[in-house]
Amino acid sequence: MNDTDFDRDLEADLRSELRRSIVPPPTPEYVRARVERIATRAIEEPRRGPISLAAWRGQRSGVMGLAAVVAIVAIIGAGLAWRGVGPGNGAGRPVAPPTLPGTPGPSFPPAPDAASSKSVTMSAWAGGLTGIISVADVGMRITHDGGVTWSALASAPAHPTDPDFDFLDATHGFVSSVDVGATNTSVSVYRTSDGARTWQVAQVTAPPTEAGWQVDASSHFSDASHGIVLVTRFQSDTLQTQECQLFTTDDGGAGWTGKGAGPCLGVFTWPNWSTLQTGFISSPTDPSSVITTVDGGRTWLASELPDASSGWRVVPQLLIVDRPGQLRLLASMTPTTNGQYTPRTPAVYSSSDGGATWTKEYEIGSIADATRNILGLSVYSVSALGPDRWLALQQGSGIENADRLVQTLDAGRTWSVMPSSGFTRADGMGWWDARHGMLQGMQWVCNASGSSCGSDHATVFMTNDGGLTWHQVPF
Amino acid sequence: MAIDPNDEAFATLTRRHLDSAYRLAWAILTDTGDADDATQDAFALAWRNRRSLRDPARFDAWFGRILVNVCRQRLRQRSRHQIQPLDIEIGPAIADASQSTSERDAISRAMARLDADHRIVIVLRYWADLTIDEIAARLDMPPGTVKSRLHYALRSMRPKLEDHR
Repeated sequence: MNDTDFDRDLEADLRSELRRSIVPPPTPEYVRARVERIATRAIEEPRRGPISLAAWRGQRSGVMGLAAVVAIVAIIGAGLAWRGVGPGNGAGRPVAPPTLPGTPGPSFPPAPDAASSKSVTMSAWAGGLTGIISVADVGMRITHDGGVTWSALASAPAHPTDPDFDFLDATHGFVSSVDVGATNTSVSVYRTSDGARTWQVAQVTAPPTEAGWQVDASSHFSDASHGIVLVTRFQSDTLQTQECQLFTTDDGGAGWTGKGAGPCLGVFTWPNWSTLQTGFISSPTDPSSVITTVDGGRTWLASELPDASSGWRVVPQLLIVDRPGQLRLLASMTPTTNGQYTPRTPAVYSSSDGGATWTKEYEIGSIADATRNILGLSVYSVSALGPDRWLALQQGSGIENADRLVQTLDAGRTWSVMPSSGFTRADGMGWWDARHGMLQGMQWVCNASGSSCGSDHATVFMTNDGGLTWHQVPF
Repeated sequence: MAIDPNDEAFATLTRRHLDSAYRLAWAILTDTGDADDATQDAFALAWRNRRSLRDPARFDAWFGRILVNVCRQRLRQRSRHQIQPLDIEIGPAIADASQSTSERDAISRAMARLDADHRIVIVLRYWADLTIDEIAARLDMPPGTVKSRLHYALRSMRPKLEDHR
């Protein structure tokens, strides 16, 4: 028998023997119950548990005065929509990459022991150095100095999950809400103009509640007066989206006007805002296109990427506004056909007409790490801290293979691994500017023998040196 | 109380995949306790990372990668701490006239000597019947690396099986 015959026989024997000998038992009911509890906890008590990633949709930084309108903006993953605001100038011209002075991080006291720390999740990103987090058993906390000091948030509107905060600055904030009633599903927007001390609510629309259908909404305000809400209905079973509507307000959210059909968000996807006026959506109905807006969401433009073709879905990851109308887009493509799972190498595209047409510039490079390639599907939360300096998180698989930060200094052509940052899991990050950032991470807690480990204790880490060092916020 | 409709949709997806996830975890780990924990950990991770699922139609590949990563971690921990042997537990005693007990045992022993990465590709390829591309997606590695690992795994098993031919 030659080697080929032997291998063929071995494969046949293996297939037969493994199927015969590996006979998993039915899923135990207690496992089913545990998984159900995980879902319940994630849905109903997102602030309390380790699986407490809040509904981060449409969160964004506000402008720090007109002169500080940003030119470089980070769009963080299609799923997470925090926006980090990099250095810029009022004229919107390209700026030099930020310096990295290596200044020390926030002067927090030593991080508390993981076992006694509170579970913390980020909840909003606002102008200046304002941020809001949610602390288990404590409540909402707000900072105005980039996370060095925190105080209690005055109040938050009643909301089924973590409030979907959408703060323009330290005083003006908005929260969209979808409440399913017996006959109608109410889409509302809460607003505050006094730093969350008081809230007012206005209903945007109230489509009928129908079995098998669900409603989702995402709001965005480009200033204290002008905002939009995108409302999408989708089928619970097939997750297919239909009836996508756009609503606008010109009076700060007190009154809303239907504008007809709007872009469909798709399930699990929300708009990403690169500036208060510029944003994009990954199209659920036209996979080869990216949908952009340059007027705060009032009008949207669907454009096909040049190398997109049937069978591929565009996944936009990062949008950089070099100057008005001049955009750069980092996007990957995943196959939509069954049996084909390998994604295309992400590439950088450019547009000089505000996103109407795109030109492919180059494909991004790989990372010098054989175990986790930057080109895989494991990279998320891509953030631009300068025109060419981008940071991203890369998913790991456990305590010895933790999530990590990777960066590029040449707009994605080459990548390197950042120094260990003190967290084992990371949900995402947001940036106020090129130095000040916040990262929601998670610690990996093992039992005494080390035989069993799991993610626990969601925490928040801050940096004020562009991600070189991170400091756990103690609560 | 109203809930986020996307979360409800995600919950629907996870419920649909629970049984197949448990089966695969058990197939890789061949231990009920480990499979219980791995399944639970994988779903917890999936919930935590659910915003990174950009296309619900690809939940299977997306979640499969999470599950396999968790299983791989448990295999490595098990090996390091020597809490559980890696031997496959032979299933129900079903008569099999085509193969001798010694040959089955030989395969089991050969599997037991594989490290976590090679064991996983063997299970995914020959028990779960996944294609090379599907395995590559779950392991987040190029298809060529999957082929290489399969080749290495089979090669390392050969000497232990040749005696039974």
